[in-house]
Amino acid sequence: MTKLLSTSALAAGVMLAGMTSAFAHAEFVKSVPAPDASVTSPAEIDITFSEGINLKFSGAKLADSMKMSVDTGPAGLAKGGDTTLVIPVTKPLAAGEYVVTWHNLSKDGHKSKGSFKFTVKP
Amino acid sequence: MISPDSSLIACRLLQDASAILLWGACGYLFACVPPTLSSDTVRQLRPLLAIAAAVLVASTGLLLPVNAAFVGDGWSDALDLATIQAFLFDTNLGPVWIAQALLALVVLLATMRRDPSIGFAALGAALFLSCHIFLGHAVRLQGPAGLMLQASYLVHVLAVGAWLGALVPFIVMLRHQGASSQDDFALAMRRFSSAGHLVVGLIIVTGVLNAWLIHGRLWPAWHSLYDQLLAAKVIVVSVMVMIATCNRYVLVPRLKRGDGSMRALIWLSCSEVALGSLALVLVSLFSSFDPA
Repeated sequence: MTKLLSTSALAAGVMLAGMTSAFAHAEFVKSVPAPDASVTSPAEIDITFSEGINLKFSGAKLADSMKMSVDTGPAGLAKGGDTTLVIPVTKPLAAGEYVVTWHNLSKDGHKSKGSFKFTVKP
Repeated sequence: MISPDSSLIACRLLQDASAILLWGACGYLFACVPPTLSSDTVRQLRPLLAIAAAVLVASTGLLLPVNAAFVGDGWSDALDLATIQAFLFDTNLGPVWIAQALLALVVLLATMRRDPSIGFAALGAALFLSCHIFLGHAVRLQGPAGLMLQASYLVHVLAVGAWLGALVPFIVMLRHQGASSQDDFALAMRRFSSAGHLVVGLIIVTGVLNAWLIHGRLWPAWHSLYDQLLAAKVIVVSVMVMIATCNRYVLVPRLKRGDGSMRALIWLSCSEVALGSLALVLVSLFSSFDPA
């Protein structure tokens, strides 16, 4: 009986992770330009997340070192997947520091947001 | 003001609890209980089933504005038509909501009848719960591993619902067992026991598989609030399994002695329902945290 009970308890302990995860965040994985990188003016900014996102409620804003918003093209998803957000940069960026502030709605229904900086070389 | 995030969690909890009750209770009464005893029990449970179906419809209905507020810019977007439209038709979450809303109505119609169609109610609630495989971590993986996870998730959710939901008519039958045919009652008990072993077995197997596929590990790391709440759930469910084992292998064999075992069995089964509900609340709380 004791053995049966302890086996049951152990089994129950293991079964739990199954129902554990109703939501998860689509976390930042990498970007091009990479955070804190020094680059020449990019044609687009690619941000890759840990899981698929809903484009309609996802996006990113670009701002320069004076916190002035920089116009970008309409956000899209990279070809062949729904984990990479692509922000076209319509005009060449002047040298200086830029901040990308992103937000997303993952396929499993969770919102996430964050930001990173990169520098455009003179 | 309650945030859209908290409202989302509350609505989902109400949805899951009512769908689990309807699926488990109706499914057990439909598939495992002899017709006469089943009809008698349905009559006693009818108000509860109707309330559960009403809660299912109401919480699902509320989820639409709550979701719009959540994906949009807060409560100001809750009734904004453009946001609601974008949620419904431009996200993968919208079609899942539409399917759940239709299924909730089917379940309501099935339970509101004078003579409830428990087969339809069970099927509708089962399909409603099945929609979980299009949400959450179940959609995280791609390819064969993703399909395996979705299949495992489906079996897991339905097995958990079958166990928790079936406990309710089981308790009602225990309390009124003097009034029904003893053969029917004994058959219903035996089937509860065999189905119970199968269901708990499935929960364990699919739980292990889910844990391995989602987390890549089988035991929580203890440093995060997520894992602490998970650990609390581990304890709650372990106690539930111990109670179930005690009920089956200690109390049931002693029922014929008439020494208070029946009262203990009813009391312990009620506490299983209470613990199961607590586990659901814990799941809904930590489900909003990232397990990573």
